[in-house]
Amino acid sequence: MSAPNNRILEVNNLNVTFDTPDGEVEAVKGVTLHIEPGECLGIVGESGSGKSQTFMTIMGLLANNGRTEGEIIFNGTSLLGLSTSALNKVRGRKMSMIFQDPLTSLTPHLTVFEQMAEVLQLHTGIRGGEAEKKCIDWLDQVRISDADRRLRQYPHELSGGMRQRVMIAMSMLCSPDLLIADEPTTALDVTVQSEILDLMDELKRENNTAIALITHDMGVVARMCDRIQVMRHGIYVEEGTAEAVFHTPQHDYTKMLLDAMPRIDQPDKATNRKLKDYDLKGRDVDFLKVDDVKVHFNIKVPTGLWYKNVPLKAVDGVSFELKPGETLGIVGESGCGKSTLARAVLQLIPPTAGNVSWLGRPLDATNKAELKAKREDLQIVFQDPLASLDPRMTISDSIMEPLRTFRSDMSRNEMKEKVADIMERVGLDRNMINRYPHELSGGQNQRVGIARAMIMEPKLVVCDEAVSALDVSIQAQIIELLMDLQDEFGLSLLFISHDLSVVREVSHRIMVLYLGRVVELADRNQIYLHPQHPYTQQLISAVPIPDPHVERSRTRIRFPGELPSPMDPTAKLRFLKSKLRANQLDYVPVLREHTPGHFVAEHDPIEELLAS
Amino acid sequence: MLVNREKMAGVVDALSNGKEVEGRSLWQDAWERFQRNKAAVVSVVVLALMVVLSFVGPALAPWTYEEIDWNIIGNAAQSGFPSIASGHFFGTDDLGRDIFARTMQGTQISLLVGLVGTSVAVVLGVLYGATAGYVGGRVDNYMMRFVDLLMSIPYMFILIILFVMFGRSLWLLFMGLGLFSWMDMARIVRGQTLSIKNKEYIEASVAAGVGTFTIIIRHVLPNLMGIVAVYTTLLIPGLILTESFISFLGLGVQEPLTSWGALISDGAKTIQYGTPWQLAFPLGFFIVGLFCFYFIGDGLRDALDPKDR
Repeated sequence: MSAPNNRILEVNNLNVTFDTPDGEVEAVKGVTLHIEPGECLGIVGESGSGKSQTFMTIMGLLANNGRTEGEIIFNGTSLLGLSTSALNKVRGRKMSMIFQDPLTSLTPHLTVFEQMAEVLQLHTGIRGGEAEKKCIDWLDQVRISDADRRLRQYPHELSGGMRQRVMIAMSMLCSPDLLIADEPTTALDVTVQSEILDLMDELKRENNTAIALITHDMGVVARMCDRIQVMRHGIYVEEGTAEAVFHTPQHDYTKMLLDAMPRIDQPDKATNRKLKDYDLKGRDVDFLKVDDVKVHFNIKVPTGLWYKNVPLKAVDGVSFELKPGETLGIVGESGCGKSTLARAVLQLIPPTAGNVSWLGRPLDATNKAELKAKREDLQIVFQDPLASLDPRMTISDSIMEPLRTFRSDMSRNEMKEKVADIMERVGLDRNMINRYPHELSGGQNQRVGIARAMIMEPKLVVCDEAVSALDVSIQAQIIELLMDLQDEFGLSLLFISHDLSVVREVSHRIMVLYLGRVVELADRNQIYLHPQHPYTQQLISAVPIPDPHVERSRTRIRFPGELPSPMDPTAKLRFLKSKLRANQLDYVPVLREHTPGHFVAEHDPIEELLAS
Repeated sequence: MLVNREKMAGVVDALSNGKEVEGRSLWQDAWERFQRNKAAVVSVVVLALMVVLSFVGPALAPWTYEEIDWNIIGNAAQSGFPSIASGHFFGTDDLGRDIFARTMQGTQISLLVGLVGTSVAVVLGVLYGATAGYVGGRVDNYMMRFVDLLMSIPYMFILIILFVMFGRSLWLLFMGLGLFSWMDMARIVRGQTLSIKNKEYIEASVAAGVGTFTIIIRHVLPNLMGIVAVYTTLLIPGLILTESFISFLGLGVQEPLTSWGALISDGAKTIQYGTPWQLAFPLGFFIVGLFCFYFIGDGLRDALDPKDR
């Protein structure tokens, strides 16, 4: 370890308190940390642990009702108590920050160049042609192709990954000594995340920039960080080198975090129970059958004077079968149509073409009464637990809603009794019946959502990113609850998630979607151990594994280019370039059975794709 | 963790001391929250007093609203001032009619106009707007174009025709006013419904098999309450003012009956003759009344938002 005076940032005994109408809230309690040049410090913790607040304070971005005590020394100057104008000389220039959501942190009505030039002019006085040169130079460095053109574009014209790259380029413009990254990849897809992380790693090594990486994802930390500090309730519970924290965790909380984190290379780890095999005996096989379902949305595209309707093929011919008691995992990156597919199965969005059959009978919106009756057995759990509950209904009313629809013969008291029972079953206190959703935590609200889905004892439950918005420890509990309920009621699950590790944990079979089409469908272990399609391989290799040894020695499969837009007609043949070259633009890759039960869509050999 | 249900039940029992927590509805909660808003509660009391006074008051006054005090007629500025002794508590107008009795009578009419007209507008506007917004698509398009059509018709003209066809009556006035002020409400409600419709909890209810109409009643309407409460409190004074305008045209409330609006316009016209009480008392009632409505609306909006608990 180098001498303390070499440190870029030193924080001693920092306390942050907020005055709220409910009294004082201590967000950060006595935090001490330091970062050296060229080092990546990981700050890990679940939501509400004060990890962001610590760095907001360092940047001087504390909310008005906050008070700070302690010492923040940056490059030898104390930052606390500095005037805003003095602080502005430091932040942005010597110390910059990347935020979680690249869309909200770029100003929508300014072009990329205008935003970048503003930073340059403020801190270095560079403007005009020189500034443009410098911007292009940095955009090249963060590997944005066609930087000239991108400079003139507005943020909404760029994809999420590209925006985050612009953010990084912007924060690197003045070659800061310290880059603070607050959940820089949480809103991004795994493949994009992997590229952004690589980029940050490179910047660190080439420019000797120190990075403070704030995240909840142990996998990201394992990949990037030299040292780690684990934070909980505003205090550091553990700190040490990445190796030490991952391999010999001392504090119980760190151990719990590591245990609860599902690993793509080790299934059945995050929960205490193993996924049970489903047995087919004595169950009717004709359960849920989805046959060539298509969902197209009409998008208006301006063509000169008039608008033209162009179909956006969100789901483009998906077929699968689901057995009773089985869990089918559906994975894919954003925009691949996984949520649309789930809604099409439940007829919440009527499919444009294709059939869904349920227990041998077609499920469609033509017979409204029949569909409504079937909804008793078909339920859905949503991603955002708060948004999926009516804010003006107590949680017991929300849970009771299916009962009021399907069991009008029950008296009010019987219903209340049943609601109280199911609430206990999903781990909610009986006394919480009068609570409103905003009074509960995210995990509790998701339990309410699950209770509402389970109260009719349905046969099929669709979980649309049901655990994605939750902290890892809560996520593990919810997964466990879902598995328990599956055992108890013998229900089938369609488990949709972008998180491949979680999907492996809960699913019997896994289906990989790419731009509305199935590229691979196989048994859970088969697909992870022997992925056939290049896209699946890319996805799996991009998932970070919470183990520094394994994570840093893995080779990644990366195909050049961004995740294409579904409106791009050539995008669907990204893995079948030979047809593209043969100008067969309408060619539909065929799903072939590779080994029994393992279906793979047609693709070019992977070596050829990597070479192009 | 969750498997141990007996333990869980034990904890629950210990926490609740065996007492069951009663379920409460949104309305019970809202009432409790409303009671905590002092300004709103005071406003309700004041408004209630005003209503009671407007009915009891005339019985206490020695003069009725149409009687003319022949001693004062033509000499209101000198002898028509407010006095307990003469029995004209609020003074008289230049015709010698008792302002107190007339204000009481005007209060009755104005509050009725405000309440009946507004109820018609709110019920129609909310149902129409919520339906159009929720159903959406072509139905929404046609329904809202119909509203545009109605809005382009000069309502005063239609009201006049109605009065001519059916004769003048107070109820026709109330209904007519209501029937011509629901369109704004419908538009506001439709806009709000469009945003509520795309919330996940609505999708959750659809997935739970709840029917369209029930969803509108159970989920959309309660979530509209805030904006409806605020707009209603703006609508009531608006209608009271419109009524006074129609009365001024000679179509609404007719002499000797009167209303706040008519009294204020009379008072304003005669203020140069040295009878400020003619304006001051009706105006005082009017202002106090409107303030009460605003505060009640504010209180209602807060009470109906569970986040404010």
